[in-house]
Amino acid sequence: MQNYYSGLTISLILHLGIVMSFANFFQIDLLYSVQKFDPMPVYLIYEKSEAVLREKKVNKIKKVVSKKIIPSPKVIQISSSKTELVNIEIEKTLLSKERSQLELINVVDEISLYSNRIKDQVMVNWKPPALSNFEFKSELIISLVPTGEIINVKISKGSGNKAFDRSALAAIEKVGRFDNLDMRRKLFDEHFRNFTLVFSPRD
Amino acid sequence: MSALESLFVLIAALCAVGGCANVLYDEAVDVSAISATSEAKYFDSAGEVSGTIYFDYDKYDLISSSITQIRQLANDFKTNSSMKIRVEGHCDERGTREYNLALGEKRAKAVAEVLILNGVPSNKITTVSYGEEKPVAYGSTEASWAKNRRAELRLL
Amino acid sequence: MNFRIIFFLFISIIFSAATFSHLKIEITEGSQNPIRIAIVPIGWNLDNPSRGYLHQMVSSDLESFGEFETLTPQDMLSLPRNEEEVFYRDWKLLDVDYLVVGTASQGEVPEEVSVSFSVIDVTREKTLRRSISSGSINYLNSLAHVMSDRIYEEINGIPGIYSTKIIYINKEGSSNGKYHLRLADIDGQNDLALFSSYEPLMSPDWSSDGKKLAYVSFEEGSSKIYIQELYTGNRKGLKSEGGINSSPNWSPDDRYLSAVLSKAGNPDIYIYDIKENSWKQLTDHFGIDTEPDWSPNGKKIIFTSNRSGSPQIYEMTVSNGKIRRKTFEGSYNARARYTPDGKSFVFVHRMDNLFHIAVQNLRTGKLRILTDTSLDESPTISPNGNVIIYATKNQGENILAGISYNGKTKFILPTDLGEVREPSWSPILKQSRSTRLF
Repeated sequence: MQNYYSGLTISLILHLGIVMSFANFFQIDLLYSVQKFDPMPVYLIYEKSEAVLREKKVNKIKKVVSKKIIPSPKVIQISSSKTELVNIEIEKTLLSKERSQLELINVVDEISLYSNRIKDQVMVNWKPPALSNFEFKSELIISLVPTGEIINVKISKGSGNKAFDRSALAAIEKVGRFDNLDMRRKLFDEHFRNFTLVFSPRD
Repeated sequence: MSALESLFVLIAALCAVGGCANVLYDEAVDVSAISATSEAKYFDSAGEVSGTIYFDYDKYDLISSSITQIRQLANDFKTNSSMKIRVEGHCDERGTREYNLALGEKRAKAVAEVLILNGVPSNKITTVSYGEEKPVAYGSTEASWAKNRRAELRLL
Repeated sequence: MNFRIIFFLFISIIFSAATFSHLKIEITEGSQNPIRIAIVPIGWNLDNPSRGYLHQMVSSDLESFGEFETLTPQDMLSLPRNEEEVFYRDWKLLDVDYLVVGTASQGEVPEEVSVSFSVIDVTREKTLRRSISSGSINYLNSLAHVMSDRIYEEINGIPGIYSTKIIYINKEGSSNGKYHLRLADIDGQNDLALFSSYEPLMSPDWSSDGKKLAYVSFEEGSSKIYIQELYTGNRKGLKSEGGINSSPNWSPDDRYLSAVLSKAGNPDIYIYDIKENSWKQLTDHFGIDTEPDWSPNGKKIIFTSNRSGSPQIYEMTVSNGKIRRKTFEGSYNARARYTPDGKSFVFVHRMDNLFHIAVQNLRTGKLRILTDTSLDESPTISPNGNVIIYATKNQGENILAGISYNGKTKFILPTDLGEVREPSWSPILKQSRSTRLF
């Protein structure tokens, strides 16, 4: 009976997790579209989550402990230490799960913050040609080193108008090196070492 | 070395130094003599204005006093049947010129209809629209505009 | 034990579900500052005292519509005469985006000046184009316009409009003042009257090949359409019909004119076949149909109609006569003109009893009011789609004003001729013979 239940629960959770991720339940993709908004100070979120973390921790542990205790009262005495161990394990895994979720929220805000800095520095240096046709779009792949210096630029998708593409390249050339991109190495490597800039004037 | 040769040497030099990028050679064509015809034909709009009918903004319908006025003019005309009537429609300056030309025509035709209803033969009536092209009052005030929204009747 | 597995699986699901996509950042607008370009005084190998004149004319051309900002020679740190003498740091210090250097020398014949110049991208330290432009020394401004066109084209990727012209109607100030159909270069130079009359003139339209004009004249007592050849002055009046004959508009191939006739009882849109000298009726409605404009591809005609109760813009497919209403905002929308790419139209839009010039996208229907002047009418758009000139009233004076398509640059065309109105912009005129060498 035990085996049946555990097998069922595992597959249930697996499916649930897959379904939820596809249904954007975790909303990770959405948060990646960078809008220009002031990113919430990181420390606030951290605190909030911690509070949540503590509460959750208490609830779950209670449940687990009660389940384990009931069948063999005598075992409690001896296995109290074991239960404690199990509790600690659960705590740890819970904490790391929460932290990774928390980390994700943090990461998204950080990405926004640095993306906005990049955006600002490019915008100030971009002089688009005066074109009445607002539908031009150029995509450039930028390669950086951690100091913010631009080491490579490549047009991945041209707009069809050479002058427009050139203006995008000139803007990057003018920036030369991005300031204030002091971020964790991991974040840099994952998102900012190579990224795409889309130049597309809005009507 | 002629001027042409020196020109080519210049081009060659450019290429030698800067690499053979595309060089575009333009020869500006002088503006050909554009002749101006100054034909100033003069249309003698003979005949004084015997009556003026006024209209509301963007409208070509006639108020009852206007209809009475036109009826009176129709009667005056009948005593002078060798003459012809020319009805000219006008608008105020607001709106586009061509649309006003059409509106002016509606005004002139509205007046002509009343004339015909009151016995004036249609072959004696000509309607013309001047749109906003011939105002009597300048200035962009309600008063000026009201004076320009008119149909003028002339006996020829 | 099982729950550890379960939680471990949960975590791994989260991590796998988090698809870390390649970061894309969107740049939607650039610097508000115009492009900075330095036209270095052209080196002059001629005896003529007009030395240095060309760079001023080119600079003034480029600054005309707010797209560029130029430097005076006093601001320049060095005056290179060719590409080799360019020291990029001198220009980067001044925040210059583009540089033009060149020299002028005698052309094939004594009166001919030949200018060889290079357009340089300062930021990327690269020469974009080398050109040789030549023209008569007596018409240096034409030569300057050709140079400005080439520079503009290289930097913006679309044709320059410095060699274009406009025609417009002028009425002398006095009460019995004459009416003139006038022609002027886009910079206001070389203004002359092409036709004069004591009776009103209206609705001039430039043919697509730039050689003919069509307009309305009241010289015979009522509105009639005339075609006049620009270079010969020859005039021809169209077979006149009773009622209104007006609003002529050339087809893109210049084989037809769309126009308005009211001979059938009320103003409708007709097409005139120039070769056949015959009229064909296109719209048949008891209301007012007027102000037609041919689309750039010749397949549609946009026009004004009050068939819904008040003037609105409609578009008709010429081949099958299908008509669709285009404007739904406001109670007065008239005098539409297609933009050169055929995707939008500029028109007169009344809002709060004020008449403004607006632009609407044909596909999205999005309307954008361009001007903040009122009593605006007759918009005409440059052949590269970037500038609009229109008629308006300023302090009681009927004048021509201009605005860039993006609405950011505004200007007025000053005149001392009296009332001016109804401008029509020429197409790109063949002002130069170009040969591509190498």
